[in-house]
Amino acid sequence: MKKIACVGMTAIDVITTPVTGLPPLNTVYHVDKIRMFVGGCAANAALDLAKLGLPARLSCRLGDDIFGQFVMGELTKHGVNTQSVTLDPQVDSAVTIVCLDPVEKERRCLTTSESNDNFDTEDISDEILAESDIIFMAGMCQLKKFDGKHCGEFVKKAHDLGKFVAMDVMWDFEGVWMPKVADALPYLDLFMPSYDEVVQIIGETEPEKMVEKLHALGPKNVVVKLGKQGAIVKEGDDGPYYVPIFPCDPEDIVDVIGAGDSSCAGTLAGLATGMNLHDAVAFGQAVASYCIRAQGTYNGIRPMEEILDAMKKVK
Amino acid sequence: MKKIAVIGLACVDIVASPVNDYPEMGSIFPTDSIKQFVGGNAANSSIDFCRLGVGKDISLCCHLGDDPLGHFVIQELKNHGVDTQYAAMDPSVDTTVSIVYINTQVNDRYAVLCPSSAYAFRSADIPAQMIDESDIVFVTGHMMLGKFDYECNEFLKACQEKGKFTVLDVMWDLQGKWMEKIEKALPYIDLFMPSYDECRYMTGTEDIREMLRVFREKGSKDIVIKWGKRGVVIAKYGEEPYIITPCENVEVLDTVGAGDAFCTGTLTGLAMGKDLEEAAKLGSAVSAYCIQGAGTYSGVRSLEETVAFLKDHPTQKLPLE
Repeated sequence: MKKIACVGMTAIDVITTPVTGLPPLNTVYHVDKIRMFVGGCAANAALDLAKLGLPARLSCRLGDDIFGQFVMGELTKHGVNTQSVTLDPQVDSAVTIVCLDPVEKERRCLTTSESNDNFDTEDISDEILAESDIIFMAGMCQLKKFDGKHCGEFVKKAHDLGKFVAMDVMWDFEGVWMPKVADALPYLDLFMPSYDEVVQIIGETEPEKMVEKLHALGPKNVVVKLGKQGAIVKEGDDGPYYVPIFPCDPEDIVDVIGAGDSSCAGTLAGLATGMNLHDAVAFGQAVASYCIRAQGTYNGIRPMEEILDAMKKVK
Repeated sequence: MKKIAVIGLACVDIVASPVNDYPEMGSIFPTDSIKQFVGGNAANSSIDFCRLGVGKDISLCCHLGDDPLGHFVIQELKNHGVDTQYAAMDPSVDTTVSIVYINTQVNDRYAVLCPSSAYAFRSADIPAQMIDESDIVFVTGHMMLGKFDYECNEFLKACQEKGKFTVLDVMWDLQGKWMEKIEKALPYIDLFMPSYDECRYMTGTEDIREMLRVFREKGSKDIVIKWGKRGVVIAKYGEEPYIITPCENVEVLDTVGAGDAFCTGTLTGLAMGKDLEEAAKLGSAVSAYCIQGAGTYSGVRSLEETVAFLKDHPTQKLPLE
């Protein structure tokens, strides 16, 4: 089984529910739940992998505050290796307050980013590179110092060392997009963005054209996540194919936070255990369907065998 | 200086600023800062007392969860010099969390709160020793203290029988019961210090004199109504009420915790032997420092600095119209 490292964006999600609007000025509004969860693509993926039963490493930067300490506690509790997690007393941890609307089952978020703004190559330990086979760059486009040049250099280095390098992006609030990822693309084995992000990166709206155009920029394989439509895959030079979502009873959906990250984690778990890309992406879709059945980004994930069994039953 | 027992609400405030609009569905909206602070009236006041420099004359009793947030509160309180020996940590509840959104356009705030540990507070949490060692008993955060809200009358009566001076401030009532929760306690409160908005809900009127009349009818003695930008209304029992305006020329950063700071300053003044009017001026100065800093307590400074500030930024005494 191959070893996976997740590198990049980590944050704390403070989930409040039920919230259907901002309270009136100068009042206090009752909510049933305010809970902290670990968030951010890289940490989500690492925790998803841990819950699937695959050991994972995480590299990221956090503040040395109650939020950072909370993340360390959760990571340790779930068995994620934190050797490359930096707690920096000079920065505030990146926090997202999530207002979860239980009726719409959708979320609105307020976010800060200081710790991620300061993440850089020096936060990625040599050990994590040496000990891992698959490197998952997660949360690109929201890592102010690392995006673009540093990311490109690191990805090339990992590639030259024979690592399998995968990458996902986040929403670019600065609206820069392509220059932040261009350096890394030629060295990627697998690029796994979401539909909305690809529209911004290359200005294409048709999925089949998306994966062709992205593939032409360098990544050996491309998976574009299509939300409720599943995913579209460009595997090497073969023609693109669709992978549907894994069915889930709408009654069971609690919140959709982290579904994309979990589909990436599932795909990588499939590859790490020897699946071909198609099966790995299908497994990723199944993992995502578990993710959305519980609150937070990783609480719904079950061990890999259990999810594989469920997939067999559906067939 | 007399000793003060501070009893009531302690929680974690997660303060987000600026939040001037509600984010769109499905969107992620960047804001400048999201920081954690200790919150809750009793915790805020305790830290304010310590920042003034009179921390050794107070103790705190509150109810927290036995979880990372609860431990954070205890550690922060200790870091500020608060005596936490009477703070209960209860594994059966979560620590109360409040998320405070600061609207910087209008310089005001909204909050969402999950009560948990606050609602688990009981009279039994308050050790007799803590009361015996104190001269002033300050219950703060009433309306958010579960069953204790209703037990408070018996508790305060017992304190008065022991010769203690009783003071009470209220919090927002999430359950909307208001007067029902407090009316039995009013006759046993020597000094009642609510805010104007809370008074509106407790009495059903917007008129200050009418508010005072309603409270007096239920047995209230001295009352100070905190009126935000307008200052405070001082209504000593049997005397004509008047207004003390806020300290002049103060630049507001955020108003979270201003009320608690005012109470702390006023009680410090009383504990030092000042009369209510002088004590309230000191309270106004503590509050003025509070609103110049972020969060509920970081603006508060030492007693010496506060007294000097009051000299340079005086309050005014005005009649109540």
